[in-house]
Amino acid sequence: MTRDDVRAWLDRYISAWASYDPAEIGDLFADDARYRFHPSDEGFVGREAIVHAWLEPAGDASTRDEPGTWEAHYEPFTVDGDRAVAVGWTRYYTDASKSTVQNVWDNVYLLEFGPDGRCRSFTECYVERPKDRV
Amino acid sequence: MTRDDVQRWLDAYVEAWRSYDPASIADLFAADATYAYQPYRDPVRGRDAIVADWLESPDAAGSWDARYEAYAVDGDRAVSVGQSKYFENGKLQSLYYNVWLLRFDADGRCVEFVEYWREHPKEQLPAG
Repeated sequence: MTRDDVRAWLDRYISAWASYDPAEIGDLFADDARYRFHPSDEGFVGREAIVHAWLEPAGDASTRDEPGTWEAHYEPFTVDGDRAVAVGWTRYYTDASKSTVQNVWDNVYLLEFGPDGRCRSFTECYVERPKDRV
Repeated sequence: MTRDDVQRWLDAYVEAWRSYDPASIADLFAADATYAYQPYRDPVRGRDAIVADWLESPDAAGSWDARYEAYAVDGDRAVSVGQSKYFENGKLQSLYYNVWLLRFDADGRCVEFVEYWREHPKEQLPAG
């Protein structure tokens, strides 16, 4: 993977998150990919399970992030063969007017890619900024 | 930096932590290095300040164990992934997952250290 490949993948990740389109989400991941929200998680295994976890985080669609209530920026920090690490931030607002920030997360993604550029392993490590730092 | 170079630096980091030898700690960092315990916190600035900060409240010998591995290396940047364990009376009390974003100078000293960490849920701690 090149830095541009990783950047393009991250942009597609954000776009899939915004669209909640199952095909777009599925296209990011290999068939047998593993997706961990925390380094300590077993995580979700397999593209279908990952898509399902995105679309129905609490067992239904009620906890999807509403359009316009969040912003995110991730960029490659290191690209090392099929491994990459992305860093960035995710900002949630109380509503789509974006007048009030609810919280901000600092994110690191540990990524491993297959030969076709799909992600085979995704592990997130994130920390919430204290309210006086958002 | 190669992955081996980064691994040697990480092993030296753990050794310096174990010894609390000021020269060993200082040797890890460039004179103008920055060290952030959280990505959103203002970093400790400068080698001398970093050494002083490490020495401020030392962990007792035998009360912790840590292992960090070079996960990805890209020019002067590297990412380390690992675990830190703290024990009380020989029993595991807390387990942290650590991700470090590192930048090195031409001498292989760290110029920028940014830590992300997450504590393993206490009720699900593995034995030992």
